[in-house]
Amino acid sequence: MAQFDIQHLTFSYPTAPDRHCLDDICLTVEKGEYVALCGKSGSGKTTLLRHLKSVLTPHGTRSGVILFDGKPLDEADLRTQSGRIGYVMQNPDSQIVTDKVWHELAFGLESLGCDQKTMRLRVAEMASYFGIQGWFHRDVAELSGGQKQLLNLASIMAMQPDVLILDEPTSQLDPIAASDFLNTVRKINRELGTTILITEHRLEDIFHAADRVVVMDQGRIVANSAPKEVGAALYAQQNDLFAAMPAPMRIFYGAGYKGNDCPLTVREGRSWLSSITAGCKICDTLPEEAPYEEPEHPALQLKEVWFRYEKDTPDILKGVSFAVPKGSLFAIVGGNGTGKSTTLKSVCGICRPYRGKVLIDGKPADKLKDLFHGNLAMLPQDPQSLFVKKTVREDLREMLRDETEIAAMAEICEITHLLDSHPYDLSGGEQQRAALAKVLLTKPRLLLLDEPTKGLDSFFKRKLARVLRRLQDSGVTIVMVTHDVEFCAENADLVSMFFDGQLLTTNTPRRFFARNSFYTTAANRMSRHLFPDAVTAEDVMALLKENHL
Amino acid sequence: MKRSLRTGLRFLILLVLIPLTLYLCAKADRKYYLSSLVIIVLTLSAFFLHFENRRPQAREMVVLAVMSALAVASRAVFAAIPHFKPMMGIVMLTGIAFGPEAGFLCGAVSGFVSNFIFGQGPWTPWQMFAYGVGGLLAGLFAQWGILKKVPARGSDFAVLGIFGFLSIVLIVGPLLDTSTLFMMVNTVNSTSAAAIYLSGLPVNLVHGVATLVTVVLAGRPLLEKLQRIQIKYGMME
Amino acid sequence: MRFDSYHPTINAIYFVSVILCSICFRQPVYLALSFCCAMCYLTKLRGGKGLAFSLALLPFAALFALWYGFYHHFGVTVLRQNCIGNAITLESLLCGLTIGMTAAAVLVWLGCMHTIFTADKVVYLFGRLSPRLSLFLSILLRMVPRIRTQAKRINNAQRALGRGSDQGNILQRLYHCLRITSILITWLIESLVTSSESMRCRGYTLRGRTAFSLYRFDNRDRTLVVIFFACLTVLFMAFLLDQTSIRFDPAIIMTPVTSVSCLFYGVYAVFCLLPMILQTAGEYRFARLRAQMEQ
Repeated sequence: MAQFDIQHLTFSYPTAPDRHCLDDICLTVEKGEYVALCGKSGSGKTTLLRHLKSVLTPHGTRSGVILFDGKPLDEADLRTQSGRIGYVMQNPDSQIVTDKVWHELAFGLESLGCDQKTMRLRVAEMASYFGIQGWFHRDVAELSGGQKQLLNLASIMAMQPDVLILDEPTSQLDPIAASDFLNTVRKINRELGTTILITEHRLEDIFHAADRVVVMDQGRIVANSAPKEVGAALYAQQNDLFAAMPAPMRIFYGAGYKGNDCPLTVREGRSWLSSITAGCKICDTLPEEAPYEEPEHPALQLKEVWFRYEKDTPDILKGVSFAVPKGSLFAIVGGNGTGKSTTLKSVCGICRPYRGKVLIDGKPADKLKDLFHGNLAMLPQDPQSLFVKKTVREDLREMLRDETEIAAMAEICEITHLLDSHPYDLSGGEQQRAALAKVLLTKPRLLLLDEPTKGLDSFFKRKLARVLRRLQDSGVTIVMVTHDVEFCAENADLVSMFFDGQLLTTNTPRRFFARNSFYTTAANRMSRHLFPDAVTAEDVMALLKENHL
Repeated sequence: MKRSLRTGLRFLILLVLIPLTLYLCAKADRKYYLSSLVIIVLTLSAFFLHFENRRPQAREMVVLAVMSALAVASRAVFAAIPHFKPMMGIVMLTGIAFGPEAGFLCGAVSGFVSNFIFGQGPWTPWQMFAYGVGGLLAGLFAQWGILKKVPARGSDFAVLGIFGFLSIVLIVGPLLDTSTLFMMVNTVNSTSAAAIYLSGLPVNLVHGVATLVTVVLAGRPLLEKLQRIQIKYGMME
Repeated sequence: MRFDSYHPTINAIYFVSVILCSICFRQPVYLALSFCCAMCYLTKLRGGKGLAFSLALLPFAALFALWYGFYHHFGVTVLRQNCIGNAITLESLLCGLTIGMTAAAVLVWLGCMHTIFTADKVVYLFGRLSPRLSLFLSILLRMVPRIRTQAKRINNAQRALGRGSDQGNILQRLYHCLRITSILITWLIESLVTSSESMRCRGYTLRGRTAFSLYRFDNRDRTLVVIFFACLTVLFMAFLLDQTSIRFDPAIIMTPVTSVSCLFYGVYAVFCLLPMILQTAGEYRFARLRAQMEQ
């Protein structure tokens, strides 16, 4: 018997009754299966997942049937559904309800009315299985994002559900925490046989683990089969979503290969490349990039900047020096807590360095009279911390009264159709662009971005890249701090590595990533034994074409 | 604890224990402070038992927790200015938005939790009670239609501000002063009472002004935002 | 080893009873015992700060006595006349001092309680009465730090636009603060939706909610309960024998001190010092064990 059997589910929200958010969905999920659900933002993934748990089902008109274990889902009472269907949401922070880790772990068990003895045992089991013992007694406020999301998962697993539904669980996490989390999910599926239904935009990390991939587009299922076949199907349909597929798969089809046997992981990709190039003489040269030179009149220059938060805490920045050429997109990459964000803060004056200089256009930043008007602006990690008003338009007006100016900016940031919505009703990527528009209305010559691609799917990332390119063309210099190696490789002009309070090297993306062996793109890792300079999937495809392979 | 047991306990408190305390108080040494404390603790327990039995909704819990947390935070932020406590303003707005019972709970709990920061003391139960009553009154006035759910016109703001000010100066403040009276004075008579209430007046006036400023400034945005999610997610009907 | 390692119920019983005793027992010996023991314990818990706090209360008690003596004129031993011709009596002064010292003793005990009785113990005790109320408190305790971090985050975001709480002139700053508050409230209210959904996902609305706790009532706690009630019984006898009270009006009246009274004093002292004795004994035993191991 199938775990979930969805038959002809159609649904529309009361605000847009004519638009079917879910359109005749038929889907079966077997017991113990790992199903990945993908699609653009707004394709109805979340709406579909929410239909699988009655308490979360949105209001609206609906037809069709959902069977859970062979019986209609509505007939399963709250107790059954709470215990047997686990649901992990996107935001790690606001899902946690109580103030202590141990209390959060027991929350579901308390609801089910378990007695102390059972609860103690189950909580102990969960803490041990998920490695929570070390922070079992802590306040939730002290945890990192990854720990918080792991806690959410553990507190749901404590109720021993049969199905685990995860709605973009890693979108707010950094890459390392994200892959840890996804590995744990996979472990649960393997070791406990729990059915997994997951939506995710980091497809590289789940594609190889999934038994089946379901692709949704505008409320319909457009592909539903094993991961390898899905790639072929999407390529055949010329679907936009193909661009979101893992790099090895994109290279395989992009280079003109056919069939269902495409590589999914870097390892498979490497051996596939080796097999097709066996015995051939390889040309591995790409067009030369000009080497990086320190610019003469940089838009932004930091000279030996030192900073610490308190008098007796360790230094966060230990002599950061770099220079950003005018009109370039300068990306800073590096691990968590190395001081990347602090660097940005010290540029815009939130943190005052105790030694060293910050020069904007050759002038010291703290001497600039109107630093925040026409000079620099920063887009924070969390765009919601900029929205004040009831509509996006009013929010933009708060910065600048000029209507034509606002309309032009909305056009640049591609938010014209969203101007009359409430900022909180937008999706993550749309919020990001609305916030960007707001920040840009101060007409900065220097734009600082803190993790701009966090939580965005590949479609929104491309939109963002387009917006940034437009800004660069109009002469804005952009400094970006990010974890997103792929985004840097494709869009940045210069990339820098940040580690332990210092900027180590700066170089053009191709030179930068080609020298790294871990901190580099999937395309590079897959092809470096043959094409050491190829960094993006496009590079690899171009080289394959050049070699007539 | 079983539900029926809790109901029983509530009736026991209201019908037996409180009258008993009053009787003992009159009979014995006239330990005003102690007996008033006992009565207040009993009243609060009765209320909390009722809260448990009513099984509040998840969203109600979080909304009230957020409002109380805001109230606590506001008290902490303005700790530097003596007696300028915007806390009651937020408690009253909660009462207006979610009714008298929610107002009482928010007031009582924020009084309690904020004292984790400012120090618990024998005044805590009195404070909980007085703040609770402030929230309760705001809720009642809103139910009677005197206070608007979302103030729009100038007159609504005026009524709101005047209500905030007067309820502090006439009810919440004097309640707190009564606690001082019982604590400081051995024999309660009109002179000692007058002395205490008069010396409390300036403090209450500052508190009242703080509340007035808070309800007038925060009233509209806060109530509007609450209304938005009430509409969007169908919360708290 | 500290008193807070015992079960919260034990902590609660102890502090409630010791504070009630301090309020009810006004006889000077009891009062002095209560104050001194509380002072010692607070010093043990908080070091020099605790001692300074306790000692600083004494002048206030004296001041209160003066104020009290100035306004109340009962008693037979007239010391002198005050400026408006009313008599200042020894009795009223002493009565004021007693009230002042009672308040001081209670405050010092509350100081100890504040250190021992952390928020999660309160949450636990409420959980016995009403699981939902304790959950409510727990949610609230999570909200407060969340609001703080989010406020900081928003302030930083606004500062990067030149609209922080510390930028511009006074009026602008005020305006910036209001804007930050407004953003904060919007964010909070929107984030509520997720929180309540997450609660409902995990069956919050089901009947028969229980409250989980890490505390366990063990034999050590049981022993302590027995000791408590033994002490309290003795003290109750003292109370019935009118050993603990004092009257000031019209003259100072006290039950005469006998050898039995000394027994009561001893028991009261032990009762007040109990947490400190337990802690010190624990520390001593620990030190000795360690010394043995190192040999």
